[in-house]
Amino acid sequence: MKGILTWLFQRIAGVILISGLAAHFTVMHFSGSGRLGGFSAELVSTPCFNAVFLASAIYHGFYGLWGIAVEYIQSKNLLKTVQALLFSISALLLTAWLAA
Amino acid sequence: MEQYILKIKRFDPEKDRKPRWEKFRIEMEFTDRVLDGFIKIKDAIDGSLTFRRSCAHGICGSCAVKINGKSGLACQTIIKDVPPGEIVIEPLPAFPVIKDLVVDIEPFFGKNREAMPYLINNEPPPELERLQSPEEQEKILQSITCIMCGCCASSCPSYWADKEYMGPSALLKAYRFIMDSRDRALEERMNSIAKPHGLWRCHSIYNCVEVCPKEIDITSHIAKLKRLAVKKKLSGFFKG
Repeated sequence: MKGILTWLFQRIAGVILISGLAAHFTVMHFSGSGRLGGFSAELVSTPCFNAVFLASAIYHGFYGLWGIAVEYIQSKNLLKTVQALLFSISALLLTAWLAA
Repeated sequence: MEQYILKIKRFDPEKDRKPRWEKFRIEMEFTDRVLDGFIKIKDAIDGSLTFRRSCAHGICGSCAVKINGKSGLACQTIIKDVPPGEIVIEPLPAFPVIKDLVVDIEPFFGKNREAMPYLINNEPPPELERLQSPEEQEKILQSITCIMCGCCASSCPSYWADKEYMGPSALLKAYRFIMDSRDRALEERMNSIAKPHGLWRCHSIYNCVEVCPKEIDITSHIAKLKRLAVKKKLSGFFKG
């Protein structure tokens, strides 16, 4: 069996993105006081929150692009090249954030 | 009797370089089926119109075509249910056209064979038959009504894009045997579908459900297979 965990992570990353976005918008833009229940403006801008959010966004986005590539690209060599390219760009984005 | 116009996409590989449209004006009762229109045209107007038909009663699935932009069975589509005006008929998309409304369905059947569409059970057979309880049968009841007409696959955007994708029908066939209490080939079946061009190419678009002439909720069946694959993988992790 192949592709189970990568598909599962895609779903988990999607849930994290939706919850993270909801928390961000509610606390930072709609609450007025910068606080809503257990969430505060400080909590949704911690490096940990940002790291999880960014990693989820990169994984979700690039796995989605990989899915499109698998469906549309029939040449195995081109598919391998695209895979390497997507992996490199996602790693570069994550490294750039860590370095910043 | 009323007049209807059937606009049919035609292609004769011996004459045409590309498909062409042809309009036929015919008289039909509003209770007639689209298939009756095809038969009338072939009998009285143009004997060269080519289409498949066999049972003409929604069982064999051979008369599947695209009717007004939606895949369906010509024998199951009543004229009164089609919006007034021209009735536009095309061959099923995603399949190579052989002639007029006849498509090459072999690649579709080939993909169904990948799902091993037969019972696998090496246990010695009982004296009478391998029995199933009504509850066990309920699990596969919808999936066994599939008539393999190809409407689902021809309406699936993933199937259009990915030439290697097994398609909704093959995945439904896998479900039918995986959930069958008498089958013993769960591992082999899961390996045959949980692969890059199998289960994971279904993006829950629901086109297959919308066009299925047997009203099978194919997407939900595929979702159950995805959950089963995840469950099996995770239980394997925890067992070590």
